[in-house]
Amino acid sequence: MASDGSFLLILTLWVTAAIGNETWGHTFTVFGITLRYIDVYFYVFAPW
Amino acid sequence: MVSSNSKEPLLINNLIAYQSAPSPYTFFSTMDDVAYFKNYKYSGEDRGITYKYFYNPVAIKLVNMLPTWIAPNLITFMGFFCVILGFVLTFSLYGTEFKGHVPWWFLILYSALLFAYRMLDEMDGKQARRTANCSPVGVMMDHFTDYYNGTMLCLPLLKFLQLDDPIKIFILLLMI
Repeated sequence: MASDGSFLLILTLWVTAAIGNETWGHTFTVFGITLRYIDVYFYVFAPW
Repeated sequence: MVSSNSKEPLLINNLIAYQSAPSPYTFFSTMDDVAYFKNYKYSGEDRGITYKYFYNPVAIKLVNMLPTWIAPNLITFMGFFCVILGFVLTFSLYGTEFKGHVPWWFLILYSALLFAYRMLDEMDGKQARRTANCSPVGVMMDHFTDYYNGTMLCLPLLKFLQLDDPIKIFILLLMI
């Protein structure tokens, strides 16, 4: 499993647990995917 | 082709001579494929931010605390067990539908299991290199269990986030 993906999943679970509403989990999932795409962009085009 | 009167043992060094013959190991691979097994070396990399600044340094420190008698494959199976435990607990306690409320403490517990799996998955390779125990079986076992883990990790997440819509499921899978 990709390290950044698993980190975002753990973060998603924490946010969902903290807020207690699964709908916010949806929102955060979309936010996580945006972060993931930015991450993949750096992975492909700007490796460090 | 292998001649029928050949009495020589089938050594890996001689396999290149039997390129066109079907392999005795698998139905689909030829002798040519089998000859490559000898030189196969796994090389993978993860250039993620969290890998560089968190998972890799922490895994190195944790591996150095482990005794050398722990086999790398045992670490792989411990990670696999974490995933199986989370999967079984989720669907046995809260039903098999991707709906229904799951308490917050269970999400924290599941995230701890997910973290343990990810860290143990990171540690097994490092333990193998540390104890000079690298083997093709270990590589195969590591990635073989990862295939199952990928599925078994996602299904409880779909339930936690109430993702019973195929489009939402697809979006979550893109995140991983």
